[in-house]
Amino acid sequence: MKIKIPQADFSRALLASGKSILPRANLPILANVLIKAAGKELELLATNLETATRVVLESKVESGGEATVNGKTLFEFISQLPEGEIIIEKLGEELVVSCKGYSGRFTTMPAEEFPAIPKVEKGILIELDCDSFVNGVSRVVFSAAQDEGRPILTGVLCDLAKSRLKMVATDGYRLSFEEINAKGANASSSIKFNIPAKALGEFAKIIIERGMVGEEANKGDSRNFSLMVSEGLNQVSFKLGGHNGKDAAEGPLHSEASEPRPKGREQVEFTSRLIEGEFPNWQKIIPGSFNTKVKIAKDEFIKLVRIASIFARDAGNIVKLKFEPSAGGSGRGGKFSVNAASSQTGSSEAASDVEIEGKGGEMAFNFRYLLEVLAQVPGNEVYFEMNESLNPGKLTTVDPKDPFFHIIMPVRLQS
Amino acid sequence: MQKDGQKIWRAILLGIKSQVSLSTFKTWFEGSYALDFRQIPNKKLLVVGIKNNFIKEQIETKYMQVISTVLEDKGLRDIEVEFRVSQSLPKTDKSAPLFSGMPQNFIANTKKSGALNAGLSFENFVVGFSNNLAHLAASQVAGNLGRLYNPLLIYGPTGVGKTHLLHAIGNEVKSITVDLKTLYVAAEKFTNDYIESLRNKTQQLFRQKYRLVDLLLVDDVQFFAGKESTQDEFFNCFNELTLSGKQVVIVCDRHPRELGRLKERLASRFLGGMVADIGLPDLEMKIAILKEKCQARRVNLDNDLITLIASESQGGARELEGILASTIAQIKISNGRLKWDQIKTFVAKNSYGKKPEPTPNELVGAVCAYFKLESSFLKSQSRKASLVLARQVLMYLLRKELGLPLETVGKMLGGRDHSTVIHGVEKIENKVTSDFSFRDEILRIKSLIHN
Repeated sequence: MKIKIPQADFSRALLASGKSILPRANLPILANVLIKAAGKELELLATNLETATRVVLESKVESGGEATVNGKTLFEFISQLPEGEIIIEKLGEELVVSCKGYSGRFTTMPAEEFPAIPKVEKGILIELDCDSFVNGVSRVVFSAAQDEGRPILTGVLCDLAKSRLKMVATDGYRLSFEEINAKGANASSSIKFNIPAKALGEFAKIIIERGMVGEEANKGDSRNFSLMVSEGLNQVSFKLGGHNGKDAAEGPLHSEASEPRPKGREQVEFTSRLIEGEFPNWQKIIPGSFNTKVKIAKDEFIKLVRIASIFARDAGNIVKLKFEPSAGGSGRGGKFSVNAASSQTGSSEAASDVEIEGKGGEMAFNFRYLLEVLAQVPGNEVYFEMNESLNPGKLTTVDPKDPFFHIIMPVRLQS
Repeated sequence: MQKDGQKIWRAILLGIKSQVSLSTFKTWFEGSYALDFRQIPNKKLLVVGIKNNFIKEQIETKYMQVISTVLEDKGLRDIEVEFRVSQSLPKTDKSAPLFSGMPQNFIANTKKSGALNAGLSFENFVVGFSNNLAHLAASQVAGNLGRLYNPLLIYGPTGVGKTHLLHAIGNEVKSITVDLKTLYVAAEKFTNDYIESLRNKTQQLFRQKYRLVDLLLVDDVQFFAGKESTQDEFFNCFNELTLSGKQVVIVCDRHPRELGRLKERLASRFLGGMVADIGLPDLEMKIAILKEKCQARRVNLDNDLITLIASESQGGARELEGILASTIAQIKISNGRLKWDQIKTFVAKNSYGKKPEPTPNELVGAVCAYFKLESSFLKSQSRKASLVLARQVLMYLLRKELGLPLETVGKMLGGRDHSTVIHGVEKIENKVTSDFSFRDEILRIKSLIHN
């Protein structure tokens, strides 16, 4: 096997494969990436038995072949090399990577030992827009459960119906909801599936690393990728670039000027297992109406919570939010304060003027939950809605067209 | 039919295990289980559940050949194996509240507290006269789960290897089967889990955890004493497990009959199977234990020194290990230039022989010091609330720690009647069981006495 490829392309492809590497596995081969060269293409494959990443790159293949080497080591080495063409060659049982002035020899393992990757060939296929998908995912995944105690909650529920894809994640203490447009032949079908939150986050990163989000990327035509859910509802496959997302693949070729985009034709296929089982009935916990609605400047909100968090760290991370409408009760004006108290270190109170509609009240939260959601809400202002101090609160953007909302459960205080 | 399927699949797994490396086996086959076993035209179909598609794909592309050779070896040519993704989720997952309103802990608990210690096995358990019955019973139980002795109760003083046997059973069962659920739990953990489940209204999850196991290993059941509703819960759990043929093994630091405050029906259930006691080791066995420990630490000690340690120590294996460890450390520090006499005094200092019992006066002194009182107040007739409490605590300690007769206790405290003493002791006893902070106070006083 002998290939020539630009350093930047190879490095980016390895970074994507790294999403599916299992560094300290029982089976050493799972820490490896499989490199295959044939025709005009170089293929990188990695799996951690929950997800798998396949990257296909256009490159100059002088002779075909395959090899597996430790993915992390290879990536660290390649990413340090200077820009320009590098030569990858299999010599005996070693993989030799070289460019002007540098060379590395990597021990290989037999390629036959590399596990087989299940393919999703038949199923429901939809197309999603990279930008809205990445945004949606980042607003949702942080709410998924971290611990495996309730496996279902470690995933993001994806609910496709009428060309809209709803995404819901909850860990039992908070819940995030987002909805994005779906296109493609099967977009109108109804189907529910649960993707592990971690896998969803990793794929979003793969998109970001390819510079396919943000204002810059959306100049001209929009960029899409395809998502296919297997018939048995146990696997999902994302395809970025290549024959499915046609615009995505051709775009980068014509815009050499923008730096982070792939220069060669590249295709990424990311597959993940799905979580089986029924997602809890989340609609049930969302209050139908609220008696207090507050409009708060987001940065101010974050600042107040941050200040309170200094003391809250020693008091179970709990901060108290207090909303006091102005005396007139006309709706405009009111005071919003956040305080925290710890028996060891002391207490703080920070207040700000806000717009309050309704009767106001007090609520206590874990400040980390507040900061995590505030970091994801777009725009300069947010709406906070509540009923009584022990009922869930709701955070939304001020844009009435934005479907995103976040439900957060207050903490019960002893006093 | 499904049970047969399970049996056949287990046999196949054993066959596969001998053909592939351990890490390969663990990666691809761990957690698989027979879902269905039925007759189809000309053949029998065994459906096996596995974790996900990735594993299915790998088994189907790379291990079908291995499986068919195993089937051929075992003369099961008419069986066809099929794989299906099945995440075997607990069905009652929904019973836990979705939004409980309690703050979540952010610190991820990575180490499982209930995990078995893999270092404790039958191989490194030294068998001797004092524990051969317990060892035999335990190894029999591990090979015949739920059939031979159910429950198995092992009791004996601290540090003689009860917990070692318990872990050994668990490890042995894990090494010979793939899919049996084993749960090792200390009685105290069971109690805490139970209380937690009451508070969070997750009894169903709690029951699921403790009742859906094939082997339940419970350590230190003496902690159940006095905790009535926990005893009830454990009683029900115990009944359900033993009735459905699941194995239960319990460990206690004394005979359940001597435990007191353990409900009669629970005590009789405990004694309903096999009861084996472990005594303190004799000299020869202590020497054998020390040699085993030396081997595990890869050190070579002089036989005289081992005999010295063995004869100096009064307790069980744990104490031996402690003395051994500190002796080795001492020898290492001094670069081996320690004189025989020095070693001797060092060993003697480290082995805590029986401490002399505290005298009644020392007890009085400790209580007075704790409550900051003059001892004459305790003997006075005053009934000030603080005095009464101190007096009752003293009565309790004199009775429980020294076992003095009621009359003597009464006399020591200014000539009080024996019924007063009974009342006082009972009052403290009740308070100790109901009030945790009070129990801590008593413990603190006790530590004052013993130091």
